[in-house]
Amino acid sequence: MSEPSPVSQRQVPAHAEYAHGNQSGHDASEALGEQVRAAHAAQRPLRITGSGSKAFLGRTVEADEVLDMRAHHGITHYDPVELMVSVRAGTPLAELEAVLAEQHQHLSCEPPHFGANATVGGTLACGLSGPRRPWSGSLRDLVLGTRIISAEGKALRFGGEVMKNVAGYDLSRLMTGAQGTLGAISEVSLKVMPRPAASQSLRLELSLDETLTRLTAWGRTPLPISAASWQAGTLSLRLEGGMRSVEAGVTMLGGESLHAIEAARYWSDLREHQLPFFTTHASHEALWRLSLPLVLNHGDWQAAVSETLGHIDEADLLCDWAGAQRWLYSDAPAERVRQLAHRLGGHAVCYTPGVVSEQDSPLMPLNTINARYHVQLKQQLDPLGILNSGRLYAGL
Amino acid sequence: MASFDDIDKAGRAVGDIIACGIIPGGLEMMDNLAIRAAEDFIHAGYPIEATAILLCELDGAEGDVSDDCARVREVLELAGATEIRLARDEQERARFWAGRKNAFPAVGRMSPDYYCMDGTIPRRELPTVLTGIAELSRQSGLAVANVFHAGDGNMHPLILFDANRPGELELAEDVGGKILELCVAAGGSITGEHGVGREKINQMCAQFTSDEITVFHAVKAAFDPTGLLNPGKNIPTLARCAEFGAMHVHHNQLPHPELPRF
Repeated sequence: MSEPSPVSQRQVPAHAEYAHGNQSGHDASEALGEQVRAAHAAQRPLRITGSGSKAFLGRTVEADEVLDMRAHHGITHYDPVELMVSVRAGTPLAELEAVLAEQHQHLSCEPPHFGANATVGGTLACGLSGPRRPWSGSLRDLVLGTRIISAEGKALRFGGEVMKNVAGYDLSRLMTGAQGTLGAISEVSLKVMPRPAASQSLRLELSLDETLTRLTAWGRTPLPISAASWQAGTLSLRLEGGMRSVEAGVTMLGGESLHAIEAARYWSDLREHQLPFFTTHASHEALWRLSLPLVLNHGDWQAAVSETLGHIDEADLLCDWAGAQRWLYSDAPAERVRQLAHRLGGHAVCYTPGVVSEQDSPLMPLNTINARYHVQLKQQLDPLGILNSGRLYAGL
Repeated sequence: MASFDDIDKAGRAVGDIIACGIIPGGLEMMDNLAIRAAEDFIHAGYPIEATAILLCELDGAEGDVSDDCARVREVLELAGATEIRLARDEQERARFWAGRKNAFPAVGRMSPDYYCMDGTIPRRELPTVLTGIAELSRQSGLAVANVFHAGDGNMHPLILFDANRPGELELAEDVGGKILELCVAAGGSITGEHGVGREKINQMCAQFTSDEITVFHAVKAAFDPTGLLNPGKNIPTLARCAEFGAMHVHHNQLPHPELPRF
């Protein structure tokens, strides 16, 4: 058994305000605001973009003009002691993560990049989180505040840089995942966390049924699990926390210990869809993300699968988030996959472009009541349909 | 439980604990008035001569907690704590917390009435904001006890007053409002957890611009088009902000200058 690897030495970061990025960044908010004001005056729709790394995750926006957020970049305020960072939307996510790492901190939800140049603004607009999500909270949970450019081109600020804030409606969280349809995110303040002192990943040979049973039981113990994925009869687990609790966890669970480099590579490849599971699958099958309840009886899963899809090959399934996020390759019609998710109380998103019809959306269709509130909200915040209209759903 | 003879040092100690990568389960600060009120009521063993105390609770697996306890003690010593006490057992731990958890009723014993505020600030602004609160207390003649969720920057200043004295309730509300404006000026928020109803609604105008308040009304309209649910609460009307702004003109800069006034 290898020693749990110390991810970071605990060090005291400089107590003074950390002003990284002010020199290298660029404030383009005025020009971006002006562009939106002009588009609004001319009733001309805009397509908001960053690097385009997550362009596949929504519908095509019918707009000739692009609002490119990449010109507005740089870290405006990073105070490691306050556990918060404020970042302009166009800042590359990789640059932010590198700056946090210098202070032994990170974004605990480990959001996927899906491209080398992914921006912080695009990451927030899509609202995606990585393998640590069930234990760390989602990206949305880390949002302290946002600055946005409204459909009229006004600069607005919601939330702030403090940990607790319940003044006014929480529009920052509404913007997270709205893919720019309610406002163009120009800056975000995020809660950051210290990197765990120790990390050790393990592999255990188990069936999916046994994996889910054990994870449920382990969830009632103080085991410091921070990631759990299952594929083709192998459970990969990551333990993170204090050195002693990680060591105790390794002793208790047994299995095969992964070398630190191999482990980091695995969790990163899982997050970025770079595992062979994702890179070698037959091209005629679509990749679906199923978001399901954390506690899901394996028998219910099997019954729902057989009623909707008939049979799925074990090689087509990868479970992350202790089973709550399942990646499925399938050539079944979209309605069937959606039925499967719906039946189990979850939802399904298609990650392969061109699978659903143009009028449809890769996102799960909304029920009538939810759709009504989505439409009313869009009408209130962007009645002329200037910002990324149609990105999430047709007519929204 | 760590005692300090200087509130600034106590504030810095909070940052130092977090800076070494430890996120305590609970991290609370009390000032001298709050300490004396709690001690008089609960007899928790608080040092009544201390300017401030910090209560720090660490949770997790036993081995990690004992490592972290040693580390926090070291940090507190370096930060200039005059006394550090580690709860020896569950009873003592509960006693340490009993004082803090009963701080509000304890202050209530000292004064016929008190008004509890809920502003949040970046922790680094604590000394500045506490100095501002002390100045408001001196000007108004109303004592203010400070209880602080130090870990997340949430302040609970308790303004002591006597509602039977004519004008004192209004004075307490005025001091409370000004404390919240201090929090906003320090980069914080008028409420961390208690929320806005009718009370604190004027201070919404200090935290948000009229464009932002207009967006809040738009969101409200999306969910409640006929204005059926608690109209007038939570989000002020722009007319209210104009009126409130006219009452307090700072450096001759009229807040919300774009709003029509009569």
